Formats: sequence, C-alpha cells, structure tokens
Amino acid sequence: MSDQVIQTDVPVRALTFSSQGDTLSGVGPDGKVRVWNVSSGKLIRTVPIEGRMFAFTTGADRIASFGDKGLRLSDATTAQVTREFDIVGMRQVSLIFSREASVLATSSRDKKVRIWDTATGKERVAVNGGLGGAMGTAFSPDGAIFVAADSDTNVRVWSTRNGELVRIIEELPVAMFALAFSPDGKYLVSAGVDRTVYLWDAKTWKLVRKIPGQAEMISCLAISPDSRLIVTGGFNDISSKMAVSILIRDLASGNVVRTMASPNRVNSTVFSPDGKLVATTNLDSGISLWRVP
Amino acid sequence: MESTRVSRREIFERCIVNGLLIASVPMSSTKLFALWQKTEQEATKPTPEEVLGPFYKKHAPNVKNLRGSGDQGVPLTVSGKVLNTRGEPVTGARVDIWQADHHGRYDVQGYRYRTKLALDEVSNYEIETVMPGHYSDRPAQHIHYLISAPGHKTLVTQVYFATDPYFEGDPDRKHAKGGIVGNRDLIRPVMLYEQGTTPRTAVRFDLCLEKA
Repeated sequence: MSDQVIQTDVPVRALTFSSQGDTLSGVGPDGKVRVWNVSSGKLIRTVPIEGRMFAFTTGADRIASFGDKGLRLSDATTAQVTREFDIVGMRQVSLIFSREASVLATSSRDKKVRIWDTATGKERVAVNGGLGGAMGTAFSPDGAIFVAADSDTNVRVWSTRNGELVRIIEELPVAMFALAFSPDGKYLVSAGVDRTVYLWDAKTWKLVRKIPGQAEMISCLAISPDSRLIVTGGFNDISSKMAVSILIRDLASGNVVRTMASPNRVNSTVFSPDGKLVATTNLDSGISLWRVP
Repeated sequence: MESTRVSRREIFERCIVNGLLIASVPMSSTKLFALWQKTEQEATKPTPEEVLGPFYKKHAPNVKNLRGSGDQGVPLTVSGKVLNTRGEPVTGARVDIWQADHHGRYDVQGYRYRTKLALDEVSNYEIETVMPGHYSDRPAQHIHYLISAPGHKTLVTQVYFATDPYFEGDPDRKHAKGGIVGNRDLIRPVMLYEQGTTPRTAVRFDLCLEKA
C-alpha cells in the first residue's frame, strides 16, 4: 500500500509536480489537465487541452500537446495557446521539454527526432533516429545534449544546437524504454527490456555501472533532485495487467532503499522537488504517493 | 541495323499463339495481359514495412534450427527468397529473424528463437521453428524480420499467419482489426501437413528489397 492515494476519476499520464511541490498535474485520456493539492488530495482544477500526447514543462506551468490541431504549447492554467509549431501529418509523436523549456523534442513514426524552438515555434534540428524509432528521449540538464533510445537497441547522442551526432552508444544488448540525466549532469541513465539500469558517464559516454535486480521490464524512471536515488517501474512482458514492483535504489551502490508494489503497468514515476516523495501512476485511476526513506 | 526489339505485349501474345501460355477459362488476350501484368507487378512489389518492436537483439547466432528438442508448439518451417524489385535474387543479405516462443514470451536474456542468417552465396532461406504464441498486449501471432543487403534499403517487417484465430478465418476482412497488422500482404497462407504422426506447418515469405 502506498502512503497516500490521490483519488482521480481517470487514469493519469504525464504526472508532474509544481516547482514548490504543493500540487501535482496530470492528463487524463480525455485530454483534460487535472491539478491536485498534494497534501489534501483535492482536485483544484480541470483544464481542457486538445491533443493525444502531452508533456508539461518543469513545474507544470505550460503544456505541449500533439493531436488533430497539430503541435501546440498552452498555458496549463488558462488553456490559452501560446505557440503553434510548424508540424504536419506525423503520427505517434512523443514529446519532451528541456529543463528550461527553451526547446521541445518530438519523435515520430518517420523515425526522425526533431528539436523545436519554443520561443519561435520553428524547427531547429531534424535528425535521423535508428531503424526502429525512438522509444525513450531526454535532454541534459543544461539542454545542450539530446539523447534518444531506439528500438534498434542503440542510444544516440546529439548536440541540441546543431543536430551533430556526438555519439552512438552501441553496446546495449536490448532496447531501452526510459532515459534520464541525473540533475547534476554527471550521468545518463537508461533502462528497458533486460530489467537492468545502466549508468553512463555523460562526458565520455562510457558505461559506469549496471544495476540489475528489477523483476520486470522497466518503462519509466526518475532520478532524485540530489542525484542520489533512482525510482524505476515497468510492466510484465506477458501482460500489462499483471502486478509489478517499483524500486527506489541508491545510484552509487545499487542498494534497494524501498520496494513498492503496483497492481499493473506503471505509467509514471516522479520525485517531488524536495526529494521526499515519489508519485506513481498505473493503468487504473489514482495517484500513489510514497515517502522516500 | 534494324531494331529487333519486341514489346512485352508482343512476347506475351506470341506465347499465347504458340501455346506456351494457356488460360484455364476462355479469356480475351487483353484481359489475360492485364492479369499477367498485375501478377508480375505484385511479385516484385517491395515487402511492406512493419514496426521493429521492442524485443530486437543484435548479434544473434547464424542458425537454421530455432526449435529446441522438446520445445512445445506446432513445428513450423518458414522459407522464402530475398529478391529485388525486378524479381532478381539478392545475395549477401543478412536476415535477422526473431519471435516469441509457443507461450508468447521473447527470450531477452539469451537468443532462443533468434537468428541472423548470412545469405552470402544464396538468396533463399529456410528456418525450422514453432508457431509463435500469442501475448495479450499484441494478440496476433507474428515473426519479426530485419533484412539488410549491399546496395539495398534495410527492410524491417513482420509475417503474420492466415490461420491465426485473431483473424477469425477471414484475414481479408479482419486484417485491420485493432490496428495490429499494417498491411494485408503480410498475412501469409499456412500449409498444414503430417510427418509421421506429427502435424507440421509451413509458410512461404519472400522478402523484396528496394534499391538504396
């Protein structure tokens, strides 16, 4: 059992804390942004945003959405559209912001990764991904580097500024679903099909450490604000409906700090800005909050 | 010198006149030619692409027999040719093939039901495997392919089976169900036969590559 549950009327995606950590925002399957008070669990507001795919900026003040009306940036409180991007006809776009939200990255079925300038709405860079298409994506904390994990098992590293391919990490045995940089910028972390967390030096792109121990495939992860802990969750490869574990582990030692349970596939894992809480969602309604020891 | 070139249509008509091509039912030569052309074009159409999926692994061993002794599941032989869009054999291809076992599970730790064939001197392949199982998140049985060959575009595709209960005995009408199968052409007929007392299945899946 989690330490606290925020009741929600729908399953929630794109879970994001406010900068103060007092509210949590998420998006339901109806495309509506919902904002809850973390301590009371009460729903504060519902904001309709058009789209099928969503990403919040850090602090959840703004939201990018992709759907029938294209790729747009909106105020997450007023729903006012503040930017429309020059994107046409691309299916299954995934979205992610850099920490400062100056750029937005998309990946699509045409296997291209594009970087968009949020100030102008213009495409800054378009690069070819791998043979399969990007599954996980991440920006370095300073926004200078962009990485994508392709289902061809390679992780590609680009310069955000000019799209130059900095590195292809080719030694992974299987595909990675989730990528994140540690907030201190020292490490790139990846995890996926083989249930293992891989730690890469974010300067040399050499493997620093492998952390095995999760029983299921890992599809989401987050690193604590102090860059010390990692939380990982995933899914059973036979059925998403089967129960799985969520682990908080020490990045340096790999030791398990806390083991939690999810009744089915984990869809989001996030740390609160003070690092004291982890919030998770799964296929069902509700947000689980877990204290970090 | 006088040109001796004859059109495809003329060759076709000579074949009919000389009895080299016989239609089983009376048919006008125009209709026969249209049918012939359609069949020819289809034979050399590039194989449709499908998604790579999350379970690909590099460095699979080059093995023809993927089925372990005592493995559960209906034995299946998959064979075919690697061709270019002119219908000519392509040699030097590398053909990655991977699938779930009878229970619908991919081996992600090792290389069970995974191979990377090196077709250096030949353009045909044949593997011994089992009919892949179903798994709930992707309910149609399928086998994955990744094919590369010098001078050709790398092809990522999958083969499906017309006998799969998922298609309810009617793949022509049910192939688009659930958005699982991208293209009807990737659902292949299955031949069922008996060897001794064991039922066996066989599927033919040719791979047609575009020029790079």
